[in-house]
Amino acid sequence: MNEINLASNTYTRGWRVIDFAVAAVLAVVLGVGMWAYDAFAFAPVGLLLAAVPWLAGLQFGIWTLPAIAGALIVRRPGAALLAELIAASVEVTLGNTWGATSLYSGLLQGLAVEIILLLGLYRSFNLAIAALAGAAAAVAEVLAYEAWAYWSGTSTEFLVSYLAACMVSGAVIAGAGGYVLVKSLRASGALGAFAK
Amino acid sequence: MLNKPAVEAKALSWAPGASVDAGAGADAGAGVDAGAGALLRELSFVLARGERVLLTGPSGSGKSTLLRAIAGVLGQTETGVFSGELFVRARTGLLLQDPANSFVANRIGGEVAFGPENYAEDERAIRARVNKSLDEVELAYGVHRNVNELSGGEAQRLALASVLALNPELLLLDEPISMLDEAAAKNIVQTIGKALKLEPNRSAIIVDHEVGPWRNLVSRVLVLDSSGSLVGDLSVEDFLERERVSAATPVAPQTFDLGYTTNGPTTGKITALVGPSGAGKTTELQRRLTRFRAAEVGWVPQQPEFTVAGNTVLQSALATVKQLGLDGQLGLRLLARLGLGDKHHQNPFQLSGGELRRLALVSALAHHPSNLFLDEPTVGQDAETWIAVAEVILSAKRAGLSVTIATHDRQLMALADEVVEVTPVPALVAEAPRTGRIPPLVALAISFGLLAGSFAINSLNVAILALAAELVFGLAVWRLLPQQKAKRFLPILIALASIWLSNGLFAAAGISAAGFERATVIALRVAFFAVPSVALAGAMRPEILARELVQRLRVPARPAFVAAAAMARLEQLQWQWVALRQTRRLRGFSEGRGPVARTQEFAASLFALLVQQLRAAGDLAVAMQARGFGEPTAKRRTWVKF
Repeated sequence: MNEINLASNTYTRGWRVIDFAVAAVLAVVLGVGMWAYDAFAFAPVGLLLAAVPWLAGLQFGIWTLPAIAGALIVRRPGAALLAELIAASVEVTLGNTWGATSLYSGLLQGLAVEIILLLGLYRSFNLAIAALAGAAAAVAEVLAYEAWAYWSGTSTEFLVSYLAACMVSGAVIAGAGGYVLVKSLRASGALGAFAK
Repeated sequence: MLNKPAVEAKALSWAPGASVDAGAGADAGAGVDAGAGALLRELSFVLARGERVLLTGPSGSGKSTLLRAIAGVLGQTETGVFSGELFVRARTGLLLQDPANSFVANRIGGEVAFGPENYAEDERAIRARVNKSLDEVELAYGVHRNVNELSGGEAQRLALASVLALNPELLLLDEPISMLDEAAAKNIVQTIGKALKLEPNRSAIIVDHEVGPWRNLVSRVLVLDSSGSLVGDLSVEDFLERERVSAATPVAPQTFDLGYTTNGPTTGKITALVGPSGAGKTTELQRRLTRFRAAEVGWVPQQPEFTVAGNTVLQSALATVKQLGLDGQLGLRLLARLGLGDKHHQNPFQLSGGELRRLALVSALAHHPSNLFLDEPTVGQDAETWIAVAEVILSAKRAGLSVTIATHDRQLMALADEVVEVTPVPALVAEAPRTGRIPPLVALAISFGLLAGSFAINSLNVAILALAAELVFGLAVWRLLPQQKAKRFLPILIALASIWLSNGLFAAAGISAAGFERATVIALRVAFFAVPSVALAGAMRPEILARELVQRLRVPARPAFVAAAAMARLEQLQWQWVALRQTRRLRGFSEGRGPVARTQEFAASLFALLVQQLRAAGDLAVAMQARGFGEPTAKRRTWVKF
């Protein structure tokens, strides 16, 4: 056994245990929030927007919030994907509209956020990149899933309007909302082990 | 090497707050710690192999910090800067104060196996180790028992078994009995005594406010003062003698005038609810609270975080006062009395656990209620702050309040006029729903397969054919499918109708019969993959799915395990949510009835839950790290099925 001076701990670049723990706990709580939205608000809001159904896309950001918040706190490759998949698992486990296919949505959104953060070399975690990542998640979700699965009978105008609504929501609710959420959490002192 | 001491600290210092996490982002700066202020100042001491010591000192003196430093987990979960030297020449095992925060599995077996799994031991060795450790702590339920069904004392014994499974040469115990009733505490002390007797070379550092329970186990006492300096290093006999001399003049709690009376000053009464941990004292308090409104009652729950409102101590203390349009004088006086007078503008979440509990007590009384309900109000208090809390409780009685306290604190019980024994009710174990016999990974593959296959559904004929085939197949394997309530399918049916309508009304060629036929095809396509997906959701048991993903698809082990561990906390989260909503209602925060007010209150509650959970995540990380989750071997960790 070599002698190691424990008082000379240095920063490690890989995932620390606290990174895993915080990403997971954050995702579970937000996943419960998402589930509650599915269960109690999704249908009434849909009814409210029945005349202009593409406006329903304005809710999209709610489901990408875990990816953005997870990434902004943990700041390591994979955090967005892990948080989004855990949150989606919570939804599926508690019982939501789409069942296991929600994991596919989660995968797409998490990957899209990771790609944008990779473009920033995982060094930039500001409001702009958060909003961009939120919008990118919308693009991935709509183009790689919803466009062909749900909306392939609709006109191009409808689809473009729907995509735009999702992107706005991704940028505002998930991007800016996630940014503000992380800022508030930081102000509350709950994120002691993480860089500002 | 063998003759060298197990622990050797030379001028060891730790300053929390300053960031060590400089590489994560260009704009990385200083981090702020929850409960910052636990400094260590130039500590020098030596712990011989096989030596057992007690580490004591007032709350906030850095006892836990020192323990975490020795366990090698400090600086990983908190930000701060070390100086000096610390050599630890022993495999350590760290036991935390609240076992519930360190659980990573939902079954006893999985919990104990977690440590050995992280060192990638083989399955047979792990199973043997699990059984041996459970025997050692005399937990006889068997490996399949749900950890959420254990009493407080049993949970702590499980946590101890999980630590012993790593066969530690140095046991680090952080206030292991402070959350337990007397009988359970005695039991744990005995179990720990046995574990130490069994291995004469095993060293131990035990943190506690009291020496009493440990006097036969330790030979030496280390004392830290409130500035984090080592001010005493003496034998147990000397320490007890010194304590006896200084305790000659015990301080008796004095009452003071709250400035209001209620129910008539002669009616004040203190009722103590007592009983073993896990007997349902908290549930009984919650039941009694349901009939009260915010103005009539003050409530300090077990999680003081739930009472916090606003960004400063002052705002939080006076939030209910403001809500009811009252005067805040009493709140200010109570803050001063409870040692929070100089912290008005601090963020409540940066207070220590004991301080936060005192702030909750201020918040509970500031609006002049006539009833006061307290759940373990003295946890985390040292001798001095204990007196302050007791004085507030006695003064509330003097002012005519009816005070009900759930507690395991003997001294606090002594203040009560009436002691009510809460007898344990067997935990209501919800019968697990039938999860079917389809392995989760297969369920996932079917869901994704159907999703991909639905791409081919492009005409009405194909759609009908595909759905008919699916139906026949579904009926054939019906008995293998998990049980699902019919109402679980209602949302997807509504969604199908809405998809059909949208595709028909917004068709490329305008509203037409052809457009609606196309819409029907699309709705059937969605039904083809989504309905079975909902049916299969019950089969996706997260902990099993995660293990299958690791073992069969080579998904990275640590993220997959963490996902499963997080899901295991869902049940606990449900209880926390109920407690949080009740607490916020009793603070007067949920008066609004409209959808906007409700949404706001929901968001605020979710945020409060998030903060509380993230604080607990720090403890979870410490417990996981101390059991080897940060070791290189954890990346190829074993994962035993229980």
